[in-house]
Amino acid sequence: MKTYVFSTAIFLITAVLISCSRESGIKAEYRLIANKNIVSYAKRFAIHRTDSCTIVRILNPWQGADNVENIYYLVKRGFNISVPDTSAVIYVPVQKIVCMSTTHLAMIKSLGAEHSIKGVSGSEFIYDSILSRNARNGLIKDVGYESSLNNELILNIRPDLVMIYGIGSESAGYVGKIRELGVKIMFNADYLETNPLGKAEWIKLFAALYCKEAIADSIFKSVTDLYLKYKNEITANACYRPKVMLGLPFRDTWYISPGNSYISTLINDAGGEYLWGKSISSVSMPYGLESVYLRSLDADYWLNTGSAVSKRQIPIIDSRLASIPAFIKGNLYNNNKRLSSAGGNDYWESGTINPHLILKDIAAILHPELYVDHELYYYRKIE
Amino acid sequence: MDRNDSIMLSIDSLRIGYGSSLLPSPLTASARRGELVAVIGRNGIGKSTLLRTIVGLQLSLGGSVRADKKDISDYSQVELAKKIGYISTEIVNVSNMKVCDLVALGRYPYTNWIGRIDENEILEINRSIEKTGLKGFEERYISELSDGERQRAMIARVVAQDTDILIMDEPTAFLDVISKYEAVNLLSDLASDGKTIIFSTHDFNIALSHADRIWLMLDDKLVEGAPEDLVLKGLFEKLFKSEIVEFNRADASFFLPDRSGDSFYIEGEGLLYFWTKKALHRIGCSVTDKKIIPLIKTPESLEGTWELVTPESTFSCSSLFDLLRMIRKNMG
Amino acid sequence: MRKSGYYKESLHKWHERGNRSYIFILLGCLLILFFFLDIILGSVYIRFSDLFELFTSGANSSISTIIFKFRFPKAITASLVGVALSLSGLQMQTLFRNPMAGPYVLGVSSGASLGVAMVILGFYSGPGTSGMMEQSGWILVISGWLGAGSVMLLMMFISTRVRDIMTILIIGIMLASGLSAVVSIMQYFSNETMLKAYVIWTMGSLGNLSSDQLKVLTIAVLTGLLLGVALIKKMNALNLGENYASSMGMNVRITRTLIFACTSILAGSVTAFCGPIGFIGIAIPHVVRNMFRTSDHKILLPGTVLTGAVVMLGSDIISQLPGSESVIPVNSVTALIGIPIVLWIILHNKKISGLG
Repeated sequence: MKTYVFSTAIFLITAVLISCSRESGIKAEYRLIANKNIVSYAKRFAIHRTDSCTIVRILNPWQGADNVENIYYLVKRGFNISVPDTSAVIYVPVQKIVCMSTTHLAMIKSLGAEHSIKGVSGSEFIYDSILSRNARNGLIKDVGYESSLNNELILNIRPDLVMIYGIGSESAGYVGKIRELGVKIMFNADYLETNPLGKAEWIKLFAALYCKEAIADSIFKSVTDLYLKYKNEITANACYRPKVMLGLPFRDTWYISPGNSYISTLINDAGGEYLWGKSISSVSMPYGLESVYLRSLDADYWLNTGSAVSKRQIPIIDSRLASIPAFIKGNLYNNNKRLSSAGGNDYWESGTINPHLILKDIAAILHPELYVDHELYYYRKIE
Repeated sequence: MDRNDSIMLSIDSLRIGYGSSLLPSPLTASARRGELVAVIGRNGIGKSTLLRTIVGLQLSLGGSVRADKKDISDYSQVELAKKIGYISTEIVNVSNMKVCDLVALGRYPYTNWIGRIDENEILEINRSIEKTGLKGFEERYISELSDGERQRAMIARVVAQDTDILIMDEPTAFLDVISKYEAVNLLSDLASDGKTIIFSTHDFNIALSHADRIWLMLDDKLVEGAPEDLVLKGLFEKLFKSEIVEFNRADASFFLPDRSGDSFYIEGEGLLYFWTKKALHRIGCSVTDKKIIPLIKTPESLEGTWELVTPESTFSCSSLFDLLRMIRKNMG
Repeated sequence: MRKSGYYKESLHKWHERGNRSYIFILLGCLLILFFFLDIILGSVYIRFSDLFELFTSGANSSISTIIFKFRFPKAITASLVGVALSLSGLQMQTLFRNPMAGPYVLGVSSGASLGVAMVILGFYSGPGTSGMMEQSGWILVISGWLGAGSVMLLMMFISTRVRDIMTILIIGIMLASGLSAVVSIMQYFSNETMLKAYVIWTMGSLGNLSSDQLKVLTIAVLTGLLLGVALIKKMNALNLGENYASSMGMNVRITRTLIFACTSILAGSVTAFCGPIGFIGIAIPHVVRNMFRTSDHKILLPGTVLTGAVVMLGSDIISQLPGSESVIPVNSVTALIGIPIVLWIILHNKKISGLG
């Protein structure tokens, strides 16, 4: 009896001591988090470097998320750091990755790490020819779409990380299964960034994953410099702000990007006025065809005309579109100049890390006198 | 006066059923103008099937059905509808349908492409409504009618259809006793107007008391004739024979043959004797002609008392109910 | 035969339907009113003065564009859809003697949905499909028609083989469910762009018909309407069920075929052009039966098509969210209107306002 009490006491005391030390461990982490976030433009993730590991925080990774934060600890291979949550440890550099979006591919490739891509979703839409070929050869597997993720295939690949982007909180459900089985999941919310530079900045996330911070920083710096340079040039020299409309209707509803969106920011920075620039909404809004039509009568330019490649396709969708002044004047431009044969659009792939090129394209469209020699890269005129 | 009583409907070696014959033998029978024919048979023998086959709702498997000397397959559908009218066992309960609408439907074979009801049709419809005693009911909704009234409305519809032949499947089912007799009276009326009416029924008494002709469907054949002829031929005993019930040819009644109870002698006569005897039969006792003990004395009049004389004692009962109770109590 | 005054009066006593014409006049006025409202209400409020100006001097071209290119065709589409679906619903409820039957019990709409799904969800990529979100209107219409037409032929074939009308109803419902299941499988394997496009299609849209498409829809609905009128007598006979109708001289086989054809033309065309719009077909016949308190299709048919058009126009007005730029899908509005109507009628009448 006495020995029983004694050993229990010892056990309890030890437990308390251990937990105390763990407390201080956590406190240490939090102190570090208060340190500088190296991410400046992007709003949906943060990176903190510590001497032992890199801490990545993904913030509100889906539409409508509030106060959601996923923390990951990126630890160099071969090292062993104690962290509050061991399941959130990712050993870097990542050697095998599965990506759910072609945006991710472009960023990885720019860092020279494309050999690590082992699985994608929607492989037929890859623009990059080498990656596309690899997908056809089976070097990169197609793991299916969100709701029909091929879990077995993913497990077979045994990736270090699966990078997904969620449309809603139910995405968490889709990945629950493979997460249970030990596969690491990271939400990538770059598509939610409304600032083009913020979107491009996600390259720093991949940099952290591949230990290529230096390359990424230099890429990002040059992109930012060029972007800001163009922006200033435009602000200084553009004489007036042409009005811009976007998109195409589906049936009798027109989904309009809100004022605080990626494309709206680009148009604004390019010296244009987006006709719905004043609307505040977080998602695209279903507007009636007639009200959009009325406003479109003011538009000087019509950009991003869906997947149209020629002018005559537009009245086929709806004959009334042919009486829109921008259509009649022929000021139609679409961002599908770089299309693969299967329909993959490089605008969504490398475009994410080349916002300066997109900006220049749009500026050249809206203010032809500014960049006379510029050949459109992502955009083309719709004839 | 020589009234026309030609054969309006005849079936000849008719085979009916679904895929396989219900009756092993073919059916042959006929019905004349102005006759009220009752089709009788045990449950499941195929009365409904026979009627449906005659109307043309079901294909026969052999033999022929002739209406007014012409095979029914030689009639067009509209012509046949003008010849034969039909009421099934289906309970029709359409909401928002008035009696006049229902009866007007009977004019279907006569109206134009949109079913317009003109002066002529209104005349016919009014006639049918009067004939079936539904005058004043025209604006009533059929869902608000009693069963008897609704059945009369259905009959009115078929009368408006102005056919020579009426086929009805159990027209008196679900009706109370009075409505039953009213309905059959109506049918007799229509028959005397010259229509040929063929109806199936389980109501044996009605068939016996009103039908001109009976089509009796037995397991192995169909026999037709006047009801009394069939009784005398002993056919009803054949039909109704079972372990539980028997048909008494003498007074056209049914009884339970198990008379394992005691025997009694009844002193009395007339109505009181008749009903006392019936009561005893009901509880399984028998009645002898020889005077014995136990003995029952019927009262002189209804206000009096019955006397039950047993070997042990004598009881006085004010009603047959008490009498039977006494019998049960004391005789074991 | 000379009819005395009294006799003639008693002849007509029960045949007078005087008060019915008032309801028809009312419906006619409502139709005109709602049509007018559908034209002047929308994201932009069109004032009477603008309208007046338009008709007198033809000025103000953007208003004229809005009215003639957007609102007018939409109002006509809404009216046609209301007519087609409610008539089709009436026919199905009478034929099957089932108060919950509607235009889609034969699986016509599911067939159209499958055809459209095959285009939108990517299983068909050929001429006309330039991309994922936008499809040329005619491709969707034709694929919808093919789907609806195939189901119609199948159901007609089945109806000649199967005797019992209830069995046919069940087969139709099962077929509809089966086709929906196939579409679900297709949805499962699609990415979100295609999915969204398909879902938007299922929400119904009245405003995207080109003038050619509108002409075709008008012809289809008028054809169905004429056929429906020709079937009035048979539908009245069917009130008592197929057996009685047959005994009164109606050919069941031909009637079934004609009614199926009529419903398929009406419901199939609407679905092919506008997507599957629900609840109108089921609710309106009940409202009309309750209003007129008759089972005579000579009255029910015109009553149903008028009421259907009125309610559909009303639904369109609401779905435009007058005054705001946004719109809500017309299917939601018809559901929000239709469901309480059906509930009200069922609960209000002790006997279900149906046919059995």
